[in-house]
Amino acid sequence: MDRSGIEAFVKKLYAARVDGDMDALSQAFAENATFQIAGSPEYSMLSSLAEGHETVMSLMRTIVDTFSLSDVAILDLLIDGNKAAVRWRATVNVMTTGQTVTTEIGAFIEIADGKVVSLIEFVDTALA
Amino acid sequence: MTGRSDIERLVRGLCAARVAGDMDVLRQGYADNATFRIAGSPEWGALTAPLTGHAAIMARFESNIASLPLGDFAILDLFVDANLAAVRWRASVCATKTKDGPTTEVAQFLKVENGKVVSLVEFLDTAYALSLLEGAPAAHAAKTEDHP
Repeated sequence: MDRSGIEAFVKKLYAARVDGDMDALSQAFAENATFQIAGSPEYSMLSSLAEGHETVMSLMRTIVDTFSLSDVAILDLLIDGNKAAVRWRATVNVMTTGQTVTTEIGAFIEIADGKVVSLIEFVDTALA
Repeated sequence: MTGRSDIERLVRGLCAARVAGDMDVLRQGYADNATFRIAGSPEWGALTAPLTGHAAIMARFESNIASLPLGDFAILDLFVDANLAAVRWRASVCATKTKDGPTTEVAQFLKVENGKVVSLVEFLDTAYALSLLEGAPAAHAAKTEDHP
């Protein structure tokens, strides 16, 4: 996948995330994918590590069902080989509490054979 | 114009300087009009307050170096794309009064102009950082104290 292909893939991935499109998300992750929300679970319930497609999708389903996103904007998108770093901003509505917050997220994505094999996200862990 | 290898060298040098506490290298690496921000809610006070200008940023770095020494440092990812860089690194970060702090990961997004950083946005484990600042066992406790 070339640079423009990776850029299109990343934008499609985030569109699926915003739309809560689990089919598109499922297709985007490799069987051996990992999804980590960086941080210590001792200090925040947001910090997580999911390994393998089924577990990644389970975590993604929880996120999609808990947090709805709006006003999403990609602020930085760096592409280097088969990897991308993304800085994005979104307004997050916590559906269980009604709390709304605008927050920034950093993401490091590794892609192989057209699918995500590693996604590491940095969120404001003190929010939960 | 700063080339890719120059930016990579700059970023690696700044990371090494942070670990070594080398303020001279840090001072040289940032532009006079640089900005620095830790991504996170404004509710977290000084931790996430944006800093503008060389002096304010250097004061923060000096404070961090004095109070939050880094160990077991490793760069995990480093991307350069035009004049932007993104680095992901891991270290054990300890308050001086605390021993054996957990290993934590940090992500930095930098913009470079004329060989110097003009913008740094840093992502870190804000819950852990607040606990270090407050001396509380968990961020939930710190947040409760600050925002009842």
